[in-house]
Amino acid sequence: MTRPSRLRASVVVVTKNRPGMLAGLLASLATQSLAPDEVVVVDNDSALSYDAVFHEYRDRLPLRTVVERIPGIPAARNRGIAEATGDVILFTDDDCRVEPDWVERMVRPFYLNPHIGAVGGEILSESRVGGLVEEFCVEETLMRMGRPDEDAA
Amino acid sequence: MIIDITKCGYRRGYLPRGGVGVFHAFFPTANAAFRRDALRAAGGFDPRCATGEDIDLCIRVARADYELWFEPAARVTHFHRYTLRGLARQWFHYGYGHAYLFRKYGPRRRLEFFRYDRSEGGGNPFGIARVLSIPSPVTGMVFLSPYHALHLCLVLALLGFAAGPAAVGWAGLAGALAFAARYFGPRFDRARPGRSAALAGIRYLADSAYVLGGLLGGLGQGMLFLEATFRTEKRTRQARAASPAEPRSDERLETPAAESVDAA
Repeated sequence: MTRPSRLRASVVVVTKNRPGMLAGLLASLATQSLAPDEVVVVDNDSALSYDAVFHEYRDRLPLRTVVERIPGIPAARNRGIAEATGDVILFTDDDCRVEPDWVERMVRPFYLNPHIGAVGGEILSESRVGGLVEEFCVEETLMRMGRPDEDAA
Repeated sequence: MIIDITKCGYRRGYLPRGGVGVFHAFFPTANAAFRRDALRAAGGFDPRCATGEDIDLCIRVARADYELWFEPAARVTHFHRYTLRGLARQWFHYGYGHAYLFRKYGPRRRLEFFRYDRSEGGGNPFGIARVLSIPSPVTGMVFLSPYHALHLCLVLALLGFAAGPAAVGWAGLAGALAFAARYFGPRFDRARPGRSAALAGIRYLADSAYVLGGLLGGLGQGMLFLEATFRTEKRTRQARAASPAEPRSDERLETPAAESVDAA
């Protein structure tokens, strides 16, 4: 396997009827230590308009937008893969925010070892509601990722 | 592959590319990246997945002989509204979708039994052990846990008191109490009884939604599917080799820590 000198990074996001949430994600993608080569937003047939959000970020991100009418996340992500041109395709969700070094840290292992086919990162959780249900979710699910040390406490 | 990260606690480094039965390591797509060549080799997401399409893809990427690397320093924050209703619905859908994955990758006409592996540090990276696999006219996956035993005993008690000898009813009731203690006991914090009870109630609801979703999803796939439940005990730290600081070129995971996923 020959290693390309530079891996192009595409971010693929599927969204439906959450332009406000997507704007938050795009804001976090616009300030990356390693800028993605493209951000492909797949609108899974939303009723709400994304025009304002796309207009706002078109100058700040290498944004590509497509509409996938077939419902369901797998089909929409496959559409994103088909549209993306990068050597590495990064996935996140429209209700997430990525840290400023996210793209850099996710892409780096692919450079270091050509046998690596998938990289996963940590998912933290933040709620606007809080309460015991969140406490449960955090304890049982999201915080377990990569935090076995705290887990054992 | 049914159990997610949620119950694994990955460490930085390579993840095992084999599974235990159909339990497999994976990255949720809220924070996952794939090499295009690996996606091409694996074939993209399976549109037949109601949930668990991320598990399914990671299995195929691993089978296409690519390594999975967990990088906890690459962080994503998920904003979510946590409600009881949302929690129940989410775990119901997880259970429902996982039945399809078992049907896709699991053995046919066999009944397999799994449980959490309580041996410290041993076993496998998922902490899950297959205890039995037998030929059976009905294909099925049955997870054994205090939750399942508790409900089995309750059914037994009802049958015993309603139709059978009362002794069976009492035995069922005694068993149900014992397993209820096993289910609720280990997580109970005496210093904060109210909070403990509430968290236990939430766990019971999530487990029930998960098991019910799995049962119904399994019926749709023509199989018996009794989904895993949350761990009843706090997980002990697993003894594992120190993770590499960085992936090295041409490095392969030296010893697949777990058996391969059964051929479809």
